[in-house]
Amino acid sequence: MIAEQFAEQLRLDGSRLALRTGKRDWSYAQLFEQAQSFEEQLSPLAGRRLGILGNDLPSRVVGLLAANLSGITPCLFPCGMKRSTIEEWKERLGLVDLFDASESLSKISNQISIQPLLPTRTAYLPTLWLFTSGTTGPPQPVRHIWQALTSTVRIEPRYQHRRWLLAYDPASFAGLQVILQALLTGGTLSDVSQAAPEEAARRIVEEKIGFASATPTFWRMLLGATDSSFWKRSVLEQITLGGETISEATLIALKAAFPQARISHIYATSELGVCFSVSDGLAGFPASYLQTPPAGCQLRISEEGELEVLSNRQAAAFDPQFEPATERDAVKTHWQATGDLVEQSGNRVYFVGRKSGVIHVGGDKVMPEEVEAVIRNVPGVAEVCVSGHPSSVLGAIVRADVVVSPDADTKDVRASILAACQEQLPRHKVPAMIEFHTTLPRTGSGKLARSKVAEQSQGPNS
Amino acid sequence: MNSIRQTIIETMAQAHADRGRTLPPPQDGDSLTGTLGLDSLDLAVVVVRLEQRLGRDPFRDGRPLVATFGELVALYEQSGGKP
Repeated sequence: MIAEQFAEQLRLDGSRLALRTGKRDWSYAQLFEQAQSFEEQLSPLAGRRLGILGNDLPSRVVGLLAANLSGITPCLFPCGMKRSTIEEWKERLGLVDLFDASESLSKISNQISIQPLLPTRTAYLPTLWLFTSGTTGPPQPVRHIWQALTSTVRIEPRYQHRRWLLAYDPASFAGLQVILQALLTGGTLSDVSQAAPEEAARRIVEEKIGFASATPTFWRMLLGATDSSFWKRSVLEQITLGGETISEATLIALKAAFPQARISHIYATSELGVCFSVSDGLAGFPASYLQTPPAGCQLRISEEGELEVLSNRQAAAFDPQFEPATERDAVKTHWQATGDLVEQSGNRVYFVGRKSGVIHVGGDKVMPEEVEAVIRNVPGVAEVCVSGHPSSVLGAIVRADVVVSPDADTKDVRASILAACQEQLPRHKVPAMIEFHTTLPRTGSGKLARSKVAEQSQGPNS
Repeated sequence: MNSIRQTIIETMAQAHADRGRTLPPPQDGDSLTGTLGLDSLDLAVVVVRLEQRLGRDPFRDGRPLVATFGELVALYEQSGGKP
């Protein structure tokens, strides 16, 4: 958040509600005043990098603002990252300190109504660090240029002073996009990122949310927890989906529940930034994007069927020692593989899975190799291949295809596999389906032919 | 014996048994997530296994989940075909 742009909202109306957490509300003036109260403490750190922690949205926003006011480059740590991992990154990224406004904010009463002083000087900070969501391994830091992050904020009159929903971790790339969109347009942002589905549904209606950005799984859980008449009182006018592959079925269910809403989906990653959005209500994206690219982003499909992107908004080069002076220094734009496999069918390009085989069970990610390692150690198991089986409820569930040793009994092996997985893995990683075979398909070089096992296990609608 | 109803009960019981739990005898008005103790992951598993046994998935068209056991049975009965 660029403090100067935030301050613009103060000049217009500081008493306007900025954040709603379900526990209390924060005005633009209150947030800014809190950020200013840290200025004396932080200004000696100008020009350095500072880790931003916090247990809720207001502490994150105040942390970002305070860093900005003091001329500091912020590094946003995800909620729930282990303290030892944070300390490791603090060392590697050369962070001068860690900053957490939560405790100080919890002492602030709701009554403060002093109009804070407008900033006399604001530092323009070109970059910010945040962490990837860890689809392909542990979360990794990426550096973004503020200018690129804010370039996708919609500022047309239709988007001014509206009510927004935050369903993502506020420290994630997707969460930051929503925060910037809401607060740089004078909007009010309701945080439901840690709320149960029933609670999130209630607040969407009661807090009159107009614009909501969330994953398809978030919506499936919400629709499952409510009956159809519940949403008649909702004033949602725009639903933006992201973070997971979007199926036609989810789009149809959302259209039925929210007939008045415009539904679009965004293709973005922490590393590539926002690439493109699709708002015609269909899954995948128009094949015409390959020839006539959307603004700021070119697309192509590799010989292996992987989507590749040349994005003007991609993250800056990862080099903690290097502090870029200009945008041109920071970003060396080049074609990047996305890890997403796509298939063209007529005028449409559809997403068909991840190259690495990561399974998305609802919002949780499962690496097949991790589950295979547990099953392989079970007595009586000769071979195993773990893959995602399409689920109309959660997108996918974990499936294990197993070959048992000649003398083993499949019923006993099944029970042992379940027991071992339940003991060693979180629940969403425990195979929900175990199928037994006499052999598993192999490639010419003797490697497990994952794609062929998956083919056997996937229905036509996967 | 209503065979679709029986198949659904068996499938739910299996999902519970896999987690070392026992399914209470379901009544039509029982809440799937409340009384019967099935969460979204259990329901996803039940729906996939029912598709294997009954050859259909009434949620494939994107309809939201239903709330009670009776509604679930009715949905599978309405969606046609023989088990």
